[in-house]
Amino acid sequence: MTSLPPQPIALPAPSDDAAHAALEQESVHRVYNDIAIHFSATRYKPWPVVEAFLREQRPGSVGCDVGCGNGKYLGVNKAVWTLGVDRSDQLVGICRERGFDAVVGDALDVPCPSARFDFCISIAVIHHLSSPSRRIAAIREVLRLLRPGGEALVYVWAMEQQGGKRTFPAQDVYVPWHMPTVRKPEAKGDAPAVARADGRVDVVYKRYYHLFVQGELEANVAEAGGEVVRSGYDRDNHYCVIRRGGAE
Amino acid sequence: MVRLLTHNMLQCHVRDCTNGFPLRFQNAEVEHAEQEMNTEFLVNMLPRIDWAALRATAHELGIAQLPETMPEDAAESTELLQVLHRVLMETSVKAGEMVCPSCEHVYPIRNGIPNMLLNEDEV
Repeated sequence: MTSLPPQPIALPAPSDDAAHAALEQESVHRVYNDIAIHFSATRYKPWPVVEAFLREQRPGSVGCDVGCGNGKYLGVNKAVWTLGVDRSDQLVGICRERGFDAVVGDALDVPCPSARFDFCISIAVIHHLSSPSRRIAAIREVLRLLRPGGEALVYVWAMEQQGGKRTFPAQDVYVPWHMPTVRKPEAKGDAPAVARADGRVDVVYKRYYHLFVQGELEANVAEAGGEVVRSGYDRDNHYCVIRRGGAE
Repeated sequence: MVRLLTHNMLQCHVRDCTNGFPLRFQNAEVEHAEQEMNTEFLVNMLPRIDWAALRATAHELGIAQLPETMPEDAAESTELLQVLHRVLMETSVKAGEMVCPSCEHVYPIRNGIPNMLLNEDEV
Protein backbone atom coordinates (compact mmCIF):
# COMPACT_ATOMS: atom_id res chain seq x y z
CA MET A 1 0.00 0.00 0.00
CA THR A 2 1.31 3.42 -0.91
CA SER A 3 1.83 5.34 2.31
CA LEU A 4 3.25 8.82 2.49
CA PRO A 5 5.95 9.37 5.13
CA PRO A 6 6.04 12.27 7.61
CA GLN A 7 7.58 15.41 6.10
CA PRO A 8 9.33 18.26 7.84
CA ILE A 9 7.66 21.68 7.88
CA ALA A 10 9.17 25.15 8.05
CA LEU A 11 7.42 26.99 10.88
CA PRO A 12 6.48 30.65 11.14
CA ALA A 13 8.57 32.73 13.56
CA PRO A 14 7.62 32.05 17.20
CA SER A 15 6.62 35.69 17.57
CA ASP A 16 4.00 35.45 14.82
CA ASP A 17 1.16 34.00 16.85
CA ALA A 18 -1.45 34.67 14.17
CA ALA A 19 0.55 32.56 11.69
CA HIS A 20 0.78 29.75 14.23
CA ALA A 21 -2.97 29.89 14.75
CA ALA A 22 -3.51 29.80 10.97
CA LEU A 23 -1.19 26.79 10.63
CA GLU A 24 -3.10 24.95 13.35
CA GLN A 25 -6.43 25.87 11.78
CA GLU A 26 -5.30 24.45 8.43
CA SER A 27 -3.32 21.40 9.59
CA VAL A 28 -5.03 20.43 12.84
CA HIS A 29 -8.55 21.77 13.31
CA ARG A 30 -9.85 21.55 9.74
CA VAL A 31 -8.30 18.12 9.35
CA TYR A 32 -9.82 16.67 12.52
CA ASN A 33 -13.25 17.94 11.53
CA ASP A 34 -12.89 16.33 8.09
CA ILE A 35 -11.59 13.01 9.38
CA ALA A 36 -13.64 12.90 12.61
CA ILE A 37 -15.71 9.79 11.94
CA HIS A 38 -12.84 7.77 10.49
CA PHE A 39 -10.52 9.01 13.23
CA SER A 40 -13.01 8.12 15.92
CA ALA A 41 -13.34 4.58 14.59
CA THR A 42 -9.62 4.07 15.12
CA ARG A 43 -9.56 5.55 18.63
CA TYR A 44 -11.29 3.23 21.00
CA LYS A 45 -8.77 1.46 23.17
CA PRO A 46 -7.75 3.45 26.24
CA TRP A 47 -4.00 3.48 26.93
CA PRO A 48 -3.24 1.64 30.18
CA VAL A 49 -1.27 4.44 31.87
CA VAL A 50 -4.08 6.90 31.22
CA GLU A 51 -6.69 4.40 32.35
CA ALA A 52 -4.74 3.77 35.57
CA PHE A 53 -4.51 7.51 36.26
CA LEU A 54 -8.26 7.89 35.82
CA ARG A 55 -9.08 4.86 37.95
CA GLU A 56 -6.98 6.09 40.86
CA GLN A 57 -9.04 9.28 41.16
CA ARG A 58 -11.33 9.37 44.20
CA PRO A 59 -15.00 8.54 43.48
CA GLY A 60 -16.95 11.75 42.93
CA SER A 61 -13.92 13.54 41.51
CA VAL A 62 -14.60 16.15 38.86
CA GLY A 63 -12.14 16.25 35.97
CA CYS A 64 -11.48 17.98 32.68
CA ASP A 65 -10.25 16.25 29.52
CA VAL A 66 -8.61 19.00 27.49
CA GLY A 67 -8.66 17.83 23.90
CA CYS A 68 -11.07 14.97 24.56
CA GLY A 69 -11.48 13.97 20.92
CA ASN A 70 -14.14 11.28 20.53
CA GLY A 71 -14.54 10.93 24.28
CA LYS A 72 -12.39 7.84 24.54
CA TYR A 73 -11.50 8.57 28.16
CA LEU A 74 -14.71 10.24 29.36
CA GLY A 75 -16.38 6.99 30.41
CA VAL A 76 -13.37 4.96 31.60
CA ASN A 77 -14.04 5.57 35.30
CA LYS A 78 -17.77 5.70 35.97
CA ALA A 79 -17.20 6.81 39.56
CA VAL A 80 -15.84 10.19 38.45
CA TRP A 81 -17.32 12.91 36.26
CA THR A 82 -15.21 14.31 33.42
CA LEU A 83 -15.99 17.30 31.24
CA GLY A 84 -14.56 17.03 27.74
CA VAL A 85 -13.33 20.07 25.83
CA ASP A 86 -12.37 19.76 22.16
CA ARG A 87 -11.80 22.11 19.26
CA SER A 88 -13.66 19.88 16.80
CA ASP A 89 -17.45 20.21 16.79
CA GLN A 90 -17.60 16.92 14.90
CA LEU A 91 -15.70 15.08 17.62
CA VAL A 92 -17.72 16.80 20.38
CA GLY A 93 -20.83 15.62 18.54
CA ILE A 94 -19.54 12.06 18.79
CA CYS A 95 -19.02 12.56 22.55
CA ARG A 96 -22.60 13.75 22.87
CA GLU A 97 -23.94 10.75 20.93
CA ARG A 98 -22.18 8.58 23.48
CA GLY A 99 -23.89 10.41 26.33
CA PHE A 100 -20.78 12.25 27.55
CA ASP A 101 -20.53 15.86 28.65
CA ALA A 102 -18.38 17.84 26.24
CA VAL A 103 -18.15 21.36 24.86
CA VAL A 104 -16.45 22.89 21.84
CA GLY A 105 -13.53 24.91 23.17
CA ASP A 106 -9.88 25.67 22.75
CA ALA A 107 -7.02 24.18 24.79
CA LEU A 108 -5.33 27.59 24.79
CA ASP A 109 -8.32 29.27 26.41
CA VAL A 110 -10.39 26.68 28.26
CA PRO A 111 -13.87 28.06 29.02
CA CYS A 112 -13.87 26.98 32.67
CA PRO A 113 -13.26 28.80 35.94
CA SER A 114 -9.91 28.31 37.68
CA ALA A 115 -9.20 25.74 40.37
CA ARG A 116 -12.49 23.85 40.02
CA PHE A 117 -11.23 20.44 38.90
CA ASP A 118 -9.80 17.57 40.92
CA PHE A 119 -7.89 16.25 37.91
CA CYS A 120 -7.19 16.92 34.26
CA ILE A 121 -5.91 14.92 31.35
CA SER A 122 -4.55 16.16 28.05
CA ILE A 123 -3.70 13.19 25.89
CA ALA A 124 -2.07 13.66 22.49
CA VAL A 125 -3.09 17.31 22.29
CA ILE A 126 -0.37 19.83 22.96
CA HIS A 127 1.88 18.29 20.32
CA HIS A 128 -0.50 19.90 17.82
CA LEU A 129 0.48 23.39 18.98
CA SER A 130 3.11 24.86 16.75
CA SER A 131 5.21 27.14 18.96
CA PRO A 132 6.90 26.63 22.33
CA SER A 133 4.96 29.51 23.89
CA ARG A 134 1.63 28.05 22.74
CA ARG A 135 2.53 24.62 24.13
CA ILE A 136 3.55 26.19 27.44
CA ALA A 137 0.34 28.25 27.47
CA ALA A 138 -1.71 25.04 27.06
CA ILE A 139 0.08 23.48 30.04
CA ARG A 140 -0.57 26.67 32.00
CA GLU A 141 -4.28 26.32 31.22
CA VAL A 142 -4.33 22.72 32.46
CA LEU A 143 -2.65 23.80 35.70
CA ARG A 144 -5.06 26.73 36.09
CA LEU A 145 -8.03 24.37 36.07
CA LEU A 146 -6.72 22.27 38.96
CA ARG A 147 -7.85 22.84 42.52
CA PRO A 148 -4.96 22.94 45.03
CA GLY A 149 -3.53 19.44 45.28
CA GLY A 150 -5.10 18.31 42.01
CA GLU A 151 -3.03 16.51 39.39
CA ALA A 152 -3.02 16.34 35.62
CA LEU A 153 -1.67 13.82 33.13
CA VAL A 154 -0.20 15.09 29.87
CA TYR A 155 0.81 12.79 27.00
CA VAL A 156 2.66 13.87 23.88
CA TRP A 157 4.27 12.09 20.92
CA ALA A 158 7.96 11.38 21.33
CA MET A 159 10.65 12.05 18.78
CA GLU A 160 12.24 8.84 20.03
CA GLN A 161 10.07 6.03 18.70
CA GLN A 162 10.59 2.45 19.80
CA GLY A 163 10.03 -0.36 17.38
CA GLY A 164 11.07 1.86 14.47
CA LYS A 165 7.69 1.89 12.83
CA ARG A 166 8.03 5.59 12.19
CA THR A 167 11.07 7.78 11.92
CA PHE A 168 10.72 11.52 11.94
CA PRO A 169 12.97 13.77 9.85
CA ALA A 170 12.59 16.68 12.27
CA GLN A 171 10.74 17.70 15.43
CA ASP A 172 8.16 19.72 13.51
CA VAL A 173 6.48 17.61 10.88
CA TYR A 174 3.37 16.93 8.87
CA VAL A 175 2.19 13.37 9.53
CA PRO A 176 -0.13 11.98 6.85
CA TRP A 177 -3.58 10.67 7.62
CA HIS A 178 -4.90 8.38 4.94
CA MET A 179 -8.69 8.49 4.83
CA PRO A 180 -10.20 5.81 2.64
CA THR A 181 -12.85 7.16 0.33
CA VAL A 182 -15.14 4.76 -1.36
CA ARG A 183 -17.62 6.99 -3.10
CA LYS A 184 -15.66 10.08 -4.04
CA PRO A 185 -12.08 9.33 -5.03
CA GLU A 186 -10.97 12.88 -5.66
CA ALA A 187 -8.49 15.19 -4.03
CA LYS A 188 -9.86 17.59 -1.40
CA GLY A 189 -8.29 21.02 -1.72
CA ASP A 190 -4.58 20.40 -1.42
CA ALA A 191 -5.01 16.96 0.14
CA PRO A 192 -3.93 14.62 -2.66
CA ALA A 193 -5.69 11.44 -3.64
CA VAL A 194 -3.43 8.41 -3.40
CA ALA A 195 -4.15 5.10 -5.09
CA ARG A 196 -4.08 2.02 -2.89
CA ALA A 197 -2.82 -1.40 -3.89
CA ASP A 198 -6.41 -2.69 -3.86
CA GLY A 199 -7.41 -0.06 -6.41
CA ARG A 200 -9.36 2.16 -3.99
CA VAL A 201 -8.27 5.69 -3.34
CA ASP A 202 -7.32 7.44 -0.08
CA VAL A 203 -7.47 11.15 0.50
CA VAL A 204 -4.32 12.10 2.36
CA TYR A 205 -4.41 14.84 4.97
CA LYS A 206 -1.40 16.45 6.57
CA ARG A 207 -1.56 16.81 10.34
CA TYR A 208 0.90 19.07 12.09
CA TYR A 209 2.89 17.59 15.02
CA HIS A 210 5.67 18.86 17.20
CA LEU A 211 7.54 15.82 18.48
CA PHE A 212 8.94 16.10 21.98
CA VAL A 213 12.45 15.03 22.87
CA GLN A 214 13.36 13.51 26.22
CA GLY A 215 13.08 16.15 28.94
CA GLU A 216 11.29 18.72 26.80
CA LEU A 217 7.85 18.24 28.34
CA GLU A 218 9.29 18.53 31.86
CA ALA A 219 11.03 21.77 30.89
CA ASN A 220 7.77 23.14 29.47
CA VAL A 221 5.94 22.23 32.68
CA ALA A 222 8.50 24.17 34.71
CA GLU A 223 8.17 27.18 32.42
CA ALA A 224 4.38 26.98 32.85
CA GLY A 225 4.85 27.23 36.62
CA GLY A 226 4.06 23.61 37.31
CA GLU A 227 5.78 20.75 39.11
CA VAL A 228 6.35 17.29 37.73
CA VAL A 229 5.11 14.59 40.09
CA ARG A 230 6.32 11.73 37.92
CA SER A 231 7.12 11.17 34.27
CA GLY A 232 7.72 8.34 31.87
CA TYR A 233 7.75 6.99 28.35
CA ASP A 234 4.92 4.81 27.14
CA ARG A 235 4.64 3.34 23.64
CA ASP A 236 6.08 6.24 21.66
CA ASN A 237 4.84 8.96 24.02
CA HIS A 238 6.42 11.05 26.74
CA TYR A 239 4.11 11.72 29.67
CA CYS A 240 4.11 13.70 32.91
CA VAL A 241 1.83 13.80 35.91
CA ILE A 242 1.90 17.44 36.99
CA ARG A 243 0.50 19.76 39.64
CA ARG A 244 0.51 23.47 40.34
CA GLY A 245 3.86 24.78 41.50
CA GLY A 246 4.64 26.73 44.62
CA ALA A 247 3.47 26.35 48.18
CA GLU A 248 -0.12 25.13 48.28
CA MET B 1 -27.01 18.56 25.97
CA VAL B 2 -25.63 20.84 28.61
CA ARG B 3 -26.14 19.25 32.00
CA LEU B 4 -26.44 21.75 34.82
CA LEU B 5 -23.32 20.17 36.28
CA THR B 6 -21.46 21.13 33.09
CA HIS B 7 -22.94 24.63 33.21
CA ASN B 8 -21.61 24.97 36.76
CA MET B 9 -18.11 24.48 35.33
CA LEU B 10 -18.29 26.91 32.38
CA GLN B 11 -17.39 30.58 32.29
CA CYS B 12 -16.90 33.39 29.81
CA HIS B 13 -13.33 33.75 28.55
CA VAL B 14 -13.54 36.89 26.47
CA ARG B 15 -10.32 38.89 26.93
CA ASP B 16 -10.50 41.16 29.98
CA CYS B 17 -13.93 39.87 30.94
CA THR B 18 -14.11 39.31 34.67
CA ASN B 19 -17.08 37.94 36.59
CA GLY B 20 -18.25 35.92 33.59
CA PHE B 21 -19.77 33.24 35.81
CA PRO B 22 -22.29 31.78 35.89
CA LEU B 23 -23.47 32.13 32.32
CA ARG B 24 -27.14 33.00 31.99
CA PHE B 25 -29.36 30.65 29.97
CA GLN B 26 -31.49 32.26 27.28
CA ASN B 27 -34.18 30.59 25.12
CA ALA B 28 -33.37 27.40 26.97
CA GLU B 29 -35.01 24.14 25.89
CA VAL B 30 -34.81 22.09 29.05
CA GLU B 31 -34.76 18.31 29.01
CA HIS B 32 -35.07 15.79 31.83
CA ALA B 33 -33.51 12.36 31.55
CA GLU B 34 -33.69 9.94 34.45
CA GLN B 35 -30.52 8.30 35.51
CA GLU B 36 -29.52 6.11 38.39
CA MET B 37 -28.34 8.05 41.41
CA ASN B 38 -24.89 7.36 42.85
CA THR B 39 -24.90 8.73 46.39
CA GLU B 40 -21.16 8.39 47.09
CA PHE B 41 -20.40 10.12 43.80
CA LEU B 42 -22.76 12.98 44.60
CA VAL B 43 -21.56 13.46 48.18
CA ASN B 44 -17.90 13.56 47.13
CA MET B 45 -18.68 15.99 44.33
CA LEU B 46 -20.41 18.55 46.58
CA PRO B 47 -17.24 20.54 47.43
CA ARG B 48 -16.64 21.13 43.68
CA ILE B 49 -20.05 22.70 43.08
CA ASP B 50 -20.47 26.45 43.05
CA TRP B 51 -23.62 26.48 45.17
CA ALA B 52 -24.69 30.08 44.51
CA ALA B 53 -24.45 29.57 40.75
CA LEU B 54 -26.35 26.29 40.89
CA ARG B 55 -29.07 27.80 43.07
CA ALA B 56 -29.51 30.83 40.78
CA THR B 57 -29.61 28.69 37.65
CA ALA B 58 -32.03 26.12 39.08
CA HIS B 59 -34.29 28.99 40.09
CA GLU B 60 -34.06 30.79 36.73
CA LEU B 61 -34.99 27.62 34.87
CA GLY B 62 -37.80 26.90 37.32
CA ILE B 63 -36.29 23.52 38.17
CA ALA B 64 -35.87 23.63 41.92
CA GLN B 65 -35.59 25.88 44.94
CA LEU B 66 -32.31 25.23 46.70
CA PRO B 67 -31.39 26.59 50.15
CA GLU B 68 -29.38 29.80 50.18
CA THR B 69 -26.20 28.01 51.22
CA MET B 70 -25.22 24.36 51.10
CA PRO B 71 -26.41 22.84 54.39
CA GLU B 72 -23.66 21.43 56.57
CA ASP B 73 -25.45 18.11 56.77
CA ALA B 74 -26.04 17.96 52.99
CA ALA B 75 -24.20 14.64 52.75
CA GLU B 76 -26.70 13.06 55.17
CA SER B 77 -29.86 14.51 53.68
CA THR B 78 -31.32 11.99 51.27
CA GLU B 79 -34.03 14.39 50.19
CA LEU B 80 -31.54 17.14 49.31
CA LEU B 81 -29.25 14.68 47.53
CA GLN B 82 -32.17 13.50 45.42
CA VAL B 83 -32.92 17.09 44.45
CA LEU B 84 -29.27 17.70 43.64
CA HIS B 85 -29.13 14.54 41.55
CA ARG B 86 -32.15 15.71 39.58
CA VAL B 87 -30.77 19.22 39.12
CA LEU B 88 -27.13 18.38 38.33
CA MET B 89 -27.32 15.07 36.49
CA GLU B 90 -30.85 14.69 35.13
CA THR B 91 -31.53 18.23 33.93
CA SER B 92 -29.96 19.52 30.76
CA VAL B 93 -30.41 22.26 28.19
CA LYS B 94 -30.44 20.92 24.65
CA ALA B 95 -30.76 24.22 22.79
CA GLY B 96 -30.59 27.94 23.42
CA GLU B 97 -27.80 30.26 24.46
CA MET B 98 -25.55 30.93 27.40
CA VAL B 99 -24.92 34.65 27.90
CA CYS B 100 -22.12 36.23 29.89
CA PRO B 101 -23.55 38.28 32.76
CA SER B 102 -20.64 40.67 32.50
CA CYS B 103 -19.81 41.28 28.82
CA GLU B 104 -23.00 39.80 27.28
CA HIS B 105 -21.10 37.52 24.88
CA VAL B 106 -23.45 34.82 23.56
CA TYR B 107 -22.36 31.16 23.50
CA PRO B 108 -24.83 29.13 21.41
CA ILE B 109 -26.05 25.61 22.17
CA ARG B 110 -26.99 23.76 18.99
CA ASN B 111 -27.93 20.08 18.75
CA GLY B 112 -27.09 19.84 22.42
CA ILE B 113 -23.53 21.04 21.83
CA PRO B 114 -22.35 24.28 23.42
CA ASN B 115 -19.85 26.23 21.34
CA MET B 116 -17.51 28.02 23.69
CA LEU B 117 -15.18 29.30 20.95
CA LEU B 118 -14.75 33.02 20.41
CA ASN B 119 -13.99 35.00 17.31
CA GLU B 120 -10.24 35.57 17.00
CA ASP B 121 -10.34 39.16 18.11
CA GLU B 122 -12.04 38.42 21.40
CA VAL B 123 -9.63 35.86 22.78
